[in-house]
Amino acid sequence: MTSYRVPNYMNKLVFLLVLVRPIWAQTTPSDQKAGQMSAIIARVKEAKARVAAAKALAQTTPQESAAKQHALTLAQSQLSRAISSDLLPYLQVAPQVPLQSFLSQIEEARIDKQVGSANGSSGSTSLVSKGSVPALLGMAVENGALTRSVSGTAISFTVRPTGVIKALMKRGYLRSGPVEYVREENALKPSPSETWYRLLNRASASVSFDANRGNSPGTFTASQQQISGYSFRYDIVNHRDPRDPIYFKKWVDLANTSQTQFATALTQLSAAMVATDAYKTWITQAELAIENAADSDVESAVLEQVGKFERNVLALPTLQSQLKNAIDAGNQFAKGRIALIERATKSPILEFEYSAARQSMAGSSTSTSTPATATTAIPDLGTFKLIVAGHFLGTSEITANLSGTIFTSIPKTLSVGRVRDFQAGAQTDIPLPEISDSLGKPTLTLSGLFLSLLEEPLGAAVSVNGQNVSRKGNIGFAQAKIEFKAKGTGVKVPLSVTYASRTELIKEKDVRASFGVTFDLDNLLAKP
Amino acid sequence: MRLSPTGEFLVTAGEQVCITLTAANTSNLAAFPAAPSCGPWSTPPPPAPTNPRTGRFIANGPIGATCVVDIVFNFVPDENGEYPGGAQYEVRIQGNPEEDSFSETVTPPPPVQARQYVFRTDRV
Repeated sequence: MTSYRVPNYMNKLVFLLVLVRPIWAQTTPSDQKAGQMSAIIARVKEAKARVAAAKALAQTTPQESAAKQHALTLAQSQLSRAISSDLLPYLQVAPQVPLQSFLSQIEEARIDKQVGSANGSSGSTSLVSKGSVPALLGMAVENGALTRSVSGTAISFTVRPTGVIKALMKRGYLRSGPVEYVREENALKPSPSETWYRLLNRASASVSFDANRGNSPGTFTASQQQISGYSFRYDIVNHRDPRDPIYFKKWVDLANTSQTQFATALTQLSAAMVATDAYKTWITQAELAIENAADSDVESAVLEQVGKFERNVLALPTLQSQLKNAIDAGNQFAKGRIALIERATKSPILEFEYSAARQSMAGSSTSTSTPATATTAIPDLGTFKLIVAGHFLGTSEITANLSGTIFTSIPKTLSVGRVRDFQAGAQTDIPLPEISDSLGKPTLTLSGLFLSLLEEPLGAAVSVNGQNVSRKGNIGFAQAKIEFKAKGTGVKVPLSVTYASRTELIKEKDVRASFGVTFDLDNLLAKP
Repeated sequence: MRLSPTGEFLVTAGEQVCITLTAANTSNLAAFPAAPSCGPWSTPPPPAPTNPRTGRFIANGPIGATCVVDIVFNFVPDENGEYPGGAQYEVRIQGNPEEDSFSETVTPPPPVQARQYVFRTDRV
C-alpha cells in the first residue's frame, strides 16, 4: 500500500482555496437572480418597447387620440403582465421561499453527449463510450438531420437515417426527431411511429474526415482520400427520451394531479396577494419605475422590484398560509416532474457499435504510436463494441463497454494476428450533495478497465488514462476521481486516486507502488 | 371584458369568462386550477391531455371584487434536455360581450411557467 506526503497537498489546498475564492465570487447572488429572472426581463423589454411605440403614435385627430389611448392601454397592460403574471421566478429567487428547482439534471447540464470519433480514435478522451447518440445536435445542423463536429483537422458527421428522410419530407425538429405529436381522440399524443420508422430510427452512422489527408493537405475536400474512419451504431434498447410514448400516461397523470394541485394553490396565493394594498402599491410603482428606466437599466430595475416584492409583499403575515401551501404543492410537482425525467434518462440502454479506422490511407498522424511512413505499412482497424448503461446509485448511471478490435487489412509485409485487443470497461459518475451555493455539486467518478493487448497497436494508439500502450499483455486499471465545479465559472478541480497494473500508466505526480494521487490545478489556472 | 393598463381584465358582474388553452407541437400538459378563486367553474376544463381545453366561469361579485386563475405550464424535454422547436401553449381569454380580445403564447424555456389572470368586476 502507500502513504502520501500530506503537507505537500495541504500547501496546494491552501493555494487552491486562496485562488478559488475570488473566482467563485464572480457568480454573485445578483447574477443568479438575473439568470432566474431572465425570461421575465426579456418579456419586460419587449413590452417596454411596445409602450414606447404606443406613446410615439400621432394624436392630431380625435380618432388618432382614441387609437393611441387604446394602444397605450394594451401596451401598458402587456408590460404589467410581463412584470407580474408569472409568480414562479419571484418565488424561486426569494431566500425565504424554499421552493425547489423544477429542472431535471439533464436540463441543467447536458453530460450525456459524445459526438464524433469513437473511443480509440484521436480526440476521444473518455475511458468508455457513452450511449445515446444525439439526433440533431452538433456544431452544424443541415436540414435538421445531420450533426457535425470538428476537432483539429478532424471533421465528423453523424446522421440518423430517419432524420434525413423526415427532414427531406417535412420541416421542423419534432418531425425529424424520435417523437412526433399526432392528433388522436381530441389530444396531441406522442406518436409511436410505424415499425419500420422505429427500427430505422434506432440506427445512426458517422463518417470522419481528416483534412490533412489527400492531395490538398489542410483543406477539407470531403474526398474519399480524406475519410479517416466511419462507424455504425444501433440502439437495441433505448427509451431515454422523456417524450417517449411509454412515459405519456405518467406525464398526463402528473398534469392532472400534483400539477393541478399546484395551479390551485398558486391561484389561492395570487387571489390573497392581489387583494392586499402592499401588492397594489408594489405593482403600480414597479410598472412606473420600469417604464421610466433607460433601456440599459431594465435588468437592474426589474431586480430592484424583485427585492421590493420579497420584502413588501411575500413577507406579509396574511399571505404565509397560502404561500406555504403553494410551496408544498410546487415542491411536490417538481419532485414528480424531475423523477419522471430521471427515470427516462437513466433507463437501461443497450447499443451496438462498429467503427472502422482507415489507417492505411494516412500520410501522417500525430495520434499514431507507429508512424506511418512510405516504408511502414499499417493495417486498417475494425472495432466491435457493446455498450450497456443504466441507473446506478442515487441519480447516477453506470456505463459499461465490451469491445474487440481486429486488423481488417494486414499488409503482406506484416506478420501479425487478426485480433488486436479485447477491452472491458465500466464508468459511473455519481453526483454528490451540494457543498455550498458557490461550490456546487461535486461529481465522483469511478472507472475501471481491463485490456488484453494481443498485438502491438500498429497505428492508432491504444490509450489508457491518456497514456499510450504498445507492449503486449494484460492491463488492469481503476480510478476514483472527485471533481469540484465552481458554479457559473466553468472551473473544475479534480482530485483522483489511480491504480494500474503498469505504473507507467499513472499520470499522477505522486506515485507509490501501483497507486497515484493528484490534485490538478491546471483547470483552475487555465480559466480567467 | 376589457383590458386595464395594470394587466387586469375588467368584467361586468355576472359576465361569463372563457379561457381556452391550445397546445402546439407538445401534448397539452398544462394545469388549470381546480376552481377559480371566486367559485367553481361553470364549465370545467377537460383534463389533460385534451387539446384544446376550455374552462368557463361566471365573474360574480360586487364592483371591485376579483377572481383569479393561475395556470401552470409544463414542457417535456427531449433526452438532451432541450425543448422541441415550435412547442407552445396559446391562451385565449374571451368575455361576453367581448370588447377586448386577449391571447398570449407561452414558450420554453423555462420549461415550467405559470400565468396569473386577474378578473376585476368594474361594472354591474
